[in-house]
Amino acid sequence: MPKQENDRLQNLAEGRKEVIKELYLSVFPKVSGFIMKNNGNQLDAEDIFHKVLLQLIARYKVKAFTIEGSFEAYIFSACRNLWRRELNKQKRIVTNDKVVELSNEADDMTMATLEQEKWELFQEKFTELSGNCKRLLELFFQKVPYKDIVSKLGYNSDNVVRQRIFNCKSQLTKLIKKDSRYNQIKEL
Amino acid sequence: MKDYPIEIDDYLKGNMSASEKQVFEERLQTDTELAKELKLQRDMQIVYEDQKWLQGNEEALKTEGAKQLKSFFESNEASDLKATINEVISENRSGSRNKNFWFIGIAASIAVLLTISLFVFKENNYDELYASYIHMDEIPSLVTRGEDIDKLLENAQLLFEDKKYQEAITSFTLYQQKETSINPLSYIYNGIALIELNRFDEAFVQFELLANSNSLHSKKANWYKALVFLKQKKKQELKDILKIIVSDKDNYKYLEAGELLEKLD
Repeated sequence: MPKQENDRLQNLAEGRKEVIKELYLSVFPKVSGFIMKNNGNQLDAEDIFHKVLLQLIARYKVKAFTIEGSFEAYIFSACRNLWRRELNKQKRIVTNDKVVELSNEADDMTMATLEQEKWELFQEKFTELSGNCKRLLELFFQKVPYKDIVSKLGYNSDNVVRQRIFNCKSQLTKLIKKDSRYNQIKEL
Repeated sequence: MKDYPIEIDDYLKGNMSASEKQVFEERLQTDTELAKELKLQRDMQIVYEDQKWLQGNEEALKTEGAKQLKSFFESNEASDLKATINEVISENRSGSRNKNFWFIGIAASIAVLLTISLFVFKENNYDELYASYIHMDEIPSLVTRGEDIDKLLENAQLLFEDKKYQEAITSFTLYQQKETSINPLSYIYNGIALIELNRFDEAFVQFELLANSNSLHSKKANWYKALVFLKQKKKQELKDILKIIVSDKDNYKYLEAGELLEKLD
């Protein structure tokens, strides 16, 4: 992360209003646009936005870290994730027969933060793969059948694809396991 | 290169026969390593498929890192930050909720009106109390028949009675500067004139002078000081001085002081 961005993260952690305002003006319109398109309203968007900033601050306070790339893009993706999590939670509450234990807010915020950290670790490791592996795995994770991957990417047989995918996934697994952060979140 | 058992893919993809599946699931019961590998591959599928959010296991709340996060979320610092963030949000909220703003605007104006009327009521209340307790007619006249009276003082009293307070103050002040033996009643007149013009500090000085005048009227000073506070709506100071007055039955305006104290509460 460029130094300037790092300073912004630090200023945010100190609760500086100008940084919060800057982020609000630049990121919030996108966040609320996304949430409104996905069964939410303005109030949901504000709730998600403030929770994401708070989670970011919490992580920074527990262990200072840096953000790769743009701060704005980072916050938007965290908001998007948190909103998806919220929708999932609501769905579960509706569909579960058994009584869902609603944990307290601090527990819930902690879980959301850990889940976001895990998500980031997985995303980061994926970008370290070769272009070839990325293409194969994208199709694999989208549940495209082997035979379609064979024709799409010009392989000889299902079995070759299966082996290739296994190799690429092994690399990805190894990258994830090797990262020190994985040890902290493997209980998750 | 083999970092996880390849059977996991077949299992997750549903590419196993019924018997293969049964064997695999039996292994999972005893082989914790295999179970862990399966969980990671499953998590990867959910994260990279990007359809659902991967919900974590609440067991993770017991880890050290989770405890640190949680204690931050529960801290005062976090609630302060939350308040600051929400403040910024509400300060910069755009017009996208104009409909609500219109409604909130009306509600806010009503609230403001209510507050103002309560406020005005309270203010009036103090002013009414002051008006009902000041009793200017009770102040002994400076002009006593058969006595040689200072023309300046006589004139000042006339100005006061005509409610020409500014001119009355000028005359009383001039009189007090000129004379060596000052009629203590002049402090009362001058003080009240100053109260009428909201010059409270100067009024207070007049009643201090009255208190120190070693005259019959000295003991009236506390009551007049109370009236200064009453007109200023200084409730606490007012109560303090009224309490002094009610502490002794012989004090000037003992009964009125008690009555006023009750009205204040």
